[in-house]
This record gives sequence, C-alpha cells and structure tokens, in this order.
Amino acid sequence: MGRCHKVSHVQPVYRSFGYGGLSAILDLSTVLALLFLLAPVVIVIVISFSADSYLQFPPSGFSVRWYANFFVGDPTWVHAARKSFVVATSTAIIATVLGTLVAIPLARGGLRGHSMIEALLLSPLIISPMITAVALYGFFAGVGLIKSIFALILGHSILALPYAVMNVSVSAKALDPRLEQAAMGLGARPVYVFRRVTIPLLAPGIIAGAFFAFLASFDEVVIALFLSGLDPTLQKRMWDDIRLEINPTVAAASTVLVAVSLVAFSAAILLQRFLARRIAVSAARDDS
Amino acid sequence: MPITIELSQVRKVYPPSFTAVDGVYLTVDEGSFTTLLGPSGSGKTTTLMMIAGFETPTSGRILLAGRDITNLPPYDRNIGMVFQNYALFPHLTVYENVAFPLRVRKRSRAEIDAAVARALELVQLGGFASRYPRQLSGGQQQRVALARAIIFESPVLLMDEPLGALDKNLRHHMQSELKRLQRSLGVTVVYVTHDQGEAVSMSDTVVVMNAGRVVQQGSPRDIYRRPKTRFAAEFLGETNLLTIEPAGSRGHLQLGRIKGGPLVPLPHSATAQGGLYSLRPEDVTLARSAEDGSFGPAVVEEVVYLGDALRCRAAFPEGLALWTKIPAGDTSLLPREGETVWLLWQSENLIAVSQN
Repeated sequence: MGRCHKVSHVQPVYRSFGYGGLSAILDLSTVLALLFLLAPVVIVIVISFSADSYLQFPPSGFSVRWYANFFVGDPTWVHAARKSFVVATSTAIIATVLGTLVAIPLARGGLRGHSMIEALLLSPLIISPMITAVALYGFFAGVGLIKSIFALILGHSILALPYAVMNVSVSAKALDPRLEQAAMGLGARPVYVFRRVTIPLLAPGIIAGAFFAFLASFDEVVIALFLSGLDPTLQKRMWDDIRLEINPTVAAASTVLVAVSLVAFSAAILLQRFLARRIAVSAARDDS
Repeated sequence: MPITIELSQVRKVYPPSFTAVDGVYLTVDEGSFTTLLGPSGSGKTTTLMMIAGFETPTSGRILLAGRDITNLPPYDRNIGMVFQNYALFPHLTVYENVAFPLRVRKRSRAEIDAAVARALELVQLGGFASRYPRQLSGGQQQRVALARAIIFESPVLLMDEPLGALDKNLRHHMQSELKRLQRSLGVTVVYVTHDQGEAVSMSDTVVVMNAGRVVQQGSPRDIYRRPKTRFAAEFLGETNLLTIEPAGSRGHLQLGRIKGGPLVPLPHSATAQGGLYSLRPEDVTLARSAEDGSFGPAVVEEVVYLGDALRCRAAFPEGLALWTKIPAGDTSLLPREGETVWLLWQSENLIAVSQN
C-alpha cells in the first residue's frame, strides 16, 4: 500500500482500484462481458463448418459443404450478397456526401437553428426502423417503385445519414477555420479551398462516416424486408432461409457477414490512422 | 513616400452592439514596417483582418495602392499573411505548403520548384522541403509560414503576433531576421503585437490602438519620447504620471506644483500649464545631497534589481512617490532602502499628456 501512495500522486483515482479484491472482480466481469458479446459469433462460426443438415450446436462433424452451397451450390446467395454490396456502397456514398455537406455548416454553427437541425438529422437513430420502413413502403407503393433498388438505397440512406453526420461533425469541429482563411489569403478561391484543404482535413471523419454508413445498410434487415421485393439482400435472404428451410448455409452466410465487417473495419482504421497521423498533431501544437 | 495602405473612417461593429474598431484612420507608407500596438480588445487584430479581407468593415473604406479593396474577397487581394498559430496545412509537406500560392496561380512546375527552393533558402530551411509541419519546431514552422507568405511576391505582408508562441531568445533572433528580410525584399509590412518592446525595436511606424481607436501614430522614438495621451505613455514603456497644478511664475519660468510633491519649473513647450504630465523613470536621477535644481528630500522605499538596471521608488514627505531607473553599472549611485535622496530631472522631460 505504501507503493500505492506514491503512485497516487500522479494517477490519483484509477490506480487505487488496481489493488485488492476489487481488481479481480473487475477483471472477471470484463472477461464475462467479452464472452457474452463474442459467444454468438463463435457459435455461428462453429456451426457454419458443420457436417449436419440442420442447425445444431455443437455439430456432430465438420465440413465446408455449407460454404460450397453458399458460393457455388445455390446462386441466390451470391446474388443476394452482390445486391447487399451494391446497396451498401451506394448508401455509403449518398449518406457520406450528404452528411459531409450538412455537417460542415452544422459544426460551425452557421445554420439558423442548428441544434434543432442536428436533432432532426440524428432522429433515425432514435425512431424505430419499422416506422421508417412502413412510411417508405407506403410512399413507394404509391409511386410504384416498391421493388426498385433505388427505394431500398434511399431507405438505407435515411438510416445511415446520422452516422455520416456524426463522424464528419467530429472532424469538422476540430478543423481550424484559420487554415481555410490562410488558403484564401494565399489566393485560393472557395472551391479550391474546399477541395484541397477542407476535404483532406475532414478525411478521417468522412472515412469513418462512410464505414458506418456502409455497415448500417449491409447489416439492415427491417427496411430490406419491406422494400427489397423478390430480389432480396443478403440479410433478407437469410431471413427467408430461417423461415423456410433451416440448414447451416445461413451460418456460413453469417460468417461471411462477420468477415466483411472485419475487413471493412480494418480498412477504415488503417486508412484513418494513415491520414490522422498527419493532422492530429496540429491540434496538439496549438496548445504548446 | 507613396502610401500603400489607407484606411479611412473604418468601423467594425459586431451585432448586437460590440464596436471592435471605431472609426480608424490610418496610412501605411510603401516599404515601411508599421506596427499596430495595443492591448487585447484594442481592435488591432480586427483591423488587420479587414486589411486581409477576412472581415468586412461595417463602414469606411480601405485602399490598397489607391484602389478601393473594401469589399474585395481575400483571394483577390494578393496580400501575404502570417497567422499567429502559423496556419500551416498539416496534410501538406513544407514544399507543398510553400508552393500552395503558386499552385493556385497555376505556375509551371519548373517555376514552382525554383521559387520554393529560393524561398526556403531565404528563411534558412533549405533541407526541410519534404517534412510535415508537425515534424518542425515552432521557430521552423514560423519560417515556413513566412516563406509561404512571401513566395508570391505580394507587395504587402501582414503579420498577426507571429512571434507570440516563441521563447524569448528565439523571438529576439526572429525579430532581426524578419527585419532583415523585410528590408531585402522591400515589402510593406503591417505587424500586430501587444509586445511594446517588439514594436519599438522593429518598426518604422508604431500605431498605438486602444478601445477600437488609433491613439497615436508615429515613429517609435516619437511615441516614446512625446506620448500624447496617458494611454500611449503608459502602454509604451514605464512612466511616472504626475498631476500638476499651475503655481505662478518665477522670472521667465512657469512653475507648477506636483500633486503630493514639490514645486517644479514647467517645460517651455507646455501650453496649458496645469494637467497631466509623463516623466520617464530613466529621466530621473538621484543625488545623495541637495544640488542645484534638485528636488527633495525624499526617502527610498523600494529598490528592484533588474539585471541591467535598478528600479527605485522614492517618496516625498507630501506623499508623491516617483520611480527612477538607474543603469546597474553606475555603482556610485546605488541607493539603499530607507536612504534619504534628492531627485533631479530636466523640466523638458515633463511631457504633457491628455487623460484619454
């Protein structure tokens, strides 16, 4: 405990937890929380390699037959995956472009009633996607676009927009307006400043926003149920599968989803880190 | 000398009712180093931002080489600017930062290469072209900002407290470098600072500002020796402020009584004999005994050692205390606290100042 005292000069509160029985309890609960979060993923991955013809854990044997079925055997799976990818990519582009254009004036407080607008933009996070889905269904049924991919992309863009706005806002709030002033003083017109100064400096937020927007669409099922018609997305295809014929292909599909999420996440982090390394330091320098 | 920048009756009011700049009239001579000096909130930075084009005056006009630029956007003004925090682009290398104004102007690659090399050489950063701003020290970043501001050969360079973030030694070094660069380029510099030492040592012209107005414009020596207002006298250097009441005359000498102090002869130049006067501490000397023209006796109350000088406060029995400043090398005059002394000054060093 004497040692603890010395340390507490520097790190007053956190360190005092580091000793005695409390620490063991905290460590244990962290491990339990992680297990709790990871268990479904682990179970699904294990089942996807099952040799059985139905969903069962633990499986009686292992094979890759369900992956074969997913990628080759039943072409509707790859077709659905391709549609999900197209929808998610389009959603990411629309939500990010729109989100960026809105987040910049929002972050600077340049819009009249900006806190109201911000609350409205983030509302899809709070409102149940079912409400959005029903509203869109009603609207697109009226104009006869119910089975169009555009309806689905539009619906997903509504859900994805808050992620884009939030992530770009973080970067936009940290952006020093003097950098844009400096560029203008050096002779750059507003469009040039936007392209060469504003956008590169917002890049980390834009990338994070695009990543979350992509996943918001790729993992979405409620709106897809209403709007994807007979040509389902991967999530919708999995939903149909579970309802009609329960075999482990759905587990293989889930594993593919996890893999896509991981790859997208890693790519976003790597790209962000590469860009942030250049930018983050300028903020720290101002404090010195 | 031709006038490069002229501000006439420039006002800047921020809604609802904050007047940052309140009717400024200002002329900047071509090729001069002009400093806007004032405390924070005096309107000096707002004035600079209006010259740069980042702020638009609420009323009044700004002329650049005779042309009205009041409503011209900053990118059409062709004015170089160095910001307080340098505002270097963190995502660009030193080379790209410095090349930025030329890229905007669509110069050829060869031309840009040559100009960047020349500009970096000029600020002694020859080997740093491929670094990023974060990899440079504060002083080096400062020079990059400078190189970027001069590379497009703007006739006017604006600087907003560019040395504020540097430590003292580096600041002195950069002061003389800036001055050398300004002379060799022949560029007109408008410089903003709250550091009176910096203003005095670098400028051809100092513009003292307070509460959104120009208090006095002149050479540093002129403003230091002949302040017109109490504010200018107190902001530029240290001073004793004396309230003097007229007390008749003796022969051709006008006399006055310092409030709380002795009867003194007034300077010939004084038109209104009574009022407020400034007396610089270094113009007051001490004597151990009464001499011809000395005032006293007074008691030394405080002695402060400054390294190169001593500052000493002596109080008259009537209550007035005066600061004197004595070069530390002059050991024969070193006063001690509690000692009785007599004070001497030339009456011409009493400078009448207005209250505002």
